[in-house]
Amino acid sequence: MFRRILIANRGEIALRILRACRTLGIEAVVAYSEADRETLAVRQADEAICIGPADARRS
Amino acid sequence: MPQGDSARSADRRDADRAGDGAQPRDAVARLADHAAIERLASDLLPALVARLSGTGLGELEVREGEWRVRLRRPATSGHALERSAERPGRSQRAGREAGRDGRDSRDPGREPGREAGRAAGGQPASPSSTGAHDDSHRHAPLVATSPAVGVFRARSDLRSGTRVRAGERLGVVDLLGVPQEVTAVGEAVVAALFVEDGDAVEYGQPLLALEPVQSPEHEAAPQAVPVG
Repeated sequence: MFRRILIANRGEIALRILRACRTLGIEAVVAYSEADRETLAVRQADEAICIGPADARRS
Repeated sequence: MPQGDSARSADRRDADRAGDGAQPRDAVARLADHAAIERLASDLLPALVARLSGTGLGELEVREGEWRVRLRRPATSGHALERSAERPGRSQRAGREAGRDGRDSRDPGREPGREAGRAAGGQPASPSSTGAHDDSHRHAPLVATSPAVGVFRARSDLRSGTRVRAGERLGVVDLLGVPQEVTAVGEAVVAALFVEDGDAVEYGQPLLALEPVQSPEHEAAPQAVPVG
């Protein structure tokens, strides 16, 4: 089983994956842009990493 | 779907109780189990919890015989751990992010934020604006931060003491072949380089420290020139 997963999704999908990771005891790392800084998945992640501004071309 | 550890051990206990093909466990064995659990709870767990909190570990697992105890540090907010996407270390991340945004870090264990300028690349130069107008802040250092995840390429002639103008290109961050400019937010002198040419950098990572200068011909606040 994985020890750690990077979640590149956003929103509800990211949250669902995150919760599944919790259930399985897998560490979840969420990559996000500035636009999603305050979202639930980012706040709930074991580790969250900001990879750029909101503009999709730059993140 | 695969089950977690607790589910597996619960199944084992259920199987034992039901005598479901497994070896029937007599009362003595069950009592031994209960005693073991008691010891676990009163002696081992507090010690493990103390050890976990005292270190930077996020998870601790102890196995003894058929028993396994796993302690996991509750997930703090994503912000507390991430705080700025720097690889060098979480505490440094907290410091940089908090400084960059001007917000306090949510995790009290992190380094306090440093005073920081805005990210390079066309954003308004508010710290340097106040620096231009307020004498007491004229020497407040600015920090040029990375506009992207990528590899930093410094301008070849850049070193400590180099004087740069507002909007001047300090280098680029190469992102899969696409260079993103790192620009000076105001007229300044390069005070320090935090990364070397060729270093992998993250979004928002401090790259250079700049000491703003007040030149006599500048009455108004220096403005960052957006670089297209």
